[in-house]
Amino acid sequence: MRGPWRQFTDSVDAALSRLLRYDLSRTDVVKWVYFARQLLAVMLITIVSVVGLSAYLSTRQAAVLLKDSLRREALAIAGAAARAAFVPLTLEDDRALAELVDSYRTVPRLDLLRVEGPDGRPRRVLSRESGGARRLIVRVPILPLADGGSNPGAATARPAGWVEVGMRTDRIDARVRDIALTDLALSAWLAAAAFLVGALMVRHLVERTRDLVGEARLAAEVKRVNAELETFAYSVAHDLRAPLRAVDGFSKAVLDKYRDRLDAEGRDWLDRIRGGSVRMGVLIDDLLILSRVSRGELRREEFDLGRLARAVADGLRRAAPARDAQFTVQEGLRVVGDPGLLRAALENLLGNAWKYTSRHPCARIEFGARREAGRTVYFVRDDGAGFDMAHAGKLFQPFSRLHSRGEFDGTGIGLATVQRIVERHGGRIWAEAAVEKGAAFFFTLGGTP
Amino acid sequence: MNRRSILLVEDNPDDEELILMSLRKNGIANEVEVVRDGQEALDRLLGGRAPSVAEGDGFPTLILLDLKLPKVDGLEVLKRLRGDPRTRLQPVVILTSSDEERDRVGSYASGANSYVCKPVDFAAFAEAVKQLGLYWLILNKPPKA
Repeated sequence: MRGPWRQFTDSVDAALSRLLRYDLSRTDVVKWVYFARQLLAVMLITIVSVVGLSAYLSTRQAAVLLKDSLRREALAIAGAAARAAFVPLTLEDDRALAELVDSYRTVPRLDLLRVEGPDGRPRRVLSRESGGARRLIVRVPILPLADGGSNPGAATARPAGWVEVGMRTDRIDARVRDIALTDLALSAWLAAAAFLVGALMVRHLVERTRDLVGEARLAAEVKRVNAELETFAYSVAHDLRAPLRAVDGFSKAVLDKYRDRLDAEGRDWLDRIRGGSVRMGVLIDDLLILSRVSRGELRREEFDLGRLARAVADGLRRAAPARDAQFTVQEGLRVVGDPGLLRAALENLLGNAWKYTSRHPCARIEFGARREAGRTVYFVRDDGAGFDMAHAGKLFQPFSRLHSRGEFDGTGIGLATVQRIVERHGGRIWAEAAVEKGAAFFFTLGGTP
Repeated sequence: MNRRSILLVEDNPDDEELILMSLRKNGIANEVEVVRDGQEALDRLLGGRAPSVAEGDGFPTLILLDLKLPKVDGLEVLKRLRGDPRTRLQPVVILTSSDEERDRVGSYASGANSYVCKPVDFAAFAEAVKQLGLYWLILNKPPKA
């Protein structure tokens, strides 16, 4: 029961949170949502109870109406019998009386017809009476008419006899009882179902609230850790760079002031010290970017990724206008995402393409998109140095590089940053390449973050 | 403190020496006074425990202010300077290691005149200091002559 039910309620939760834009990572929101759902469950139970009760009451009403109409029918038959008994016949006319009795034999439900004289002695009795059956009996007087029957309204006071009709009511009762029982059963079913649904909802509610409050607490914890990380990164930014500046600055000062007293080796070593400190500075900067990409809010704006790529490509070209490189950028690619982060991603990918084609006399770098299995795949392709696909697994790991610094400079953090950015957008990144045949990086941007 | 002078608020002696070295090397021989934490800077400028420049011979032409400082941080110093009528218009340049957006935005929001990130590369650092000195001491016209 738990599996499908949980799946169902989870999908309801997800749909509702999307529709109403509520944030299930917040404890107060969670409590409100579940209060509303509890209210809904109570309302459902109430509705079912009201429906059941009204079904029962309407059954009672139906029974009363049926009995009432039966009574009127019996009265009408008895009245008709009484008039018939009096008008064309006299009570002594046995043959006519027998005909009267026969004519009422065909009336359904009528199982007793009794005609009595004024003395109360029965003259004719028709009885289909069976023992123990419930019966409705109506007795009406036979009133002799003063004008011999032409005016049924003018009756004398003394009855000339009595007509009694009996009608079985047990079948009616059974019918009413059946209806009542069906209604009651239905109400009971509905009430039981409502109770079950309500109980399950309440149970789910308790569990889910517990889970979500736990998750919200976890989210708060993650937020706290993130804040700590931010403080850490901030300190790194400030404090790690200052000593590097001293290393580089004073090495430079020694080089400038004591150049004449140093031999070539000494100068080379100082140059290496300086190179090391500057490289470490770049590493710190890249690490800070990587950590900044992972922290912070993800903005969601609609913009043209192609135009962004064009701007990045123009920037690269301006930095080295002498290079024979051709950028092909597909524009009009509307995306929803964080423009700052996606710019950083494109700067890395296009920058890589630019870097790894730098040893070829001419370069072709392409940015575009294509539809693949119902989703849009963006790609950056170059015809540069490429890499061996055997090492592709290491591509997105921080600090891992597929080229030596002698071949191409770099910190190995760029693609890790790109991957982090793509994943934060709910997408995926992968690459295809061959040595000296260029590389292509493909990425998707998920519909939801 | 005479006219066309610099007050450097810097707690790192290495950075202090590098800045002074860069200024000297570029012939910016103006008087540079160094204070080493935020409290000292406030005392020096607005008065308090140490004698302030307000009663002396005037405010420096330029304040170079680090953000991360002992006792009172740079942003707080800046806010206090902007809150005081005597230093409300005083040119203050933030000179810091941080390239974080919140520091940049925070500094400008608190009334910094400029924000310069100290590069690790000394050549770039020396160039930045030189340009700052030239611009703020020579090219720029201060609010009060």
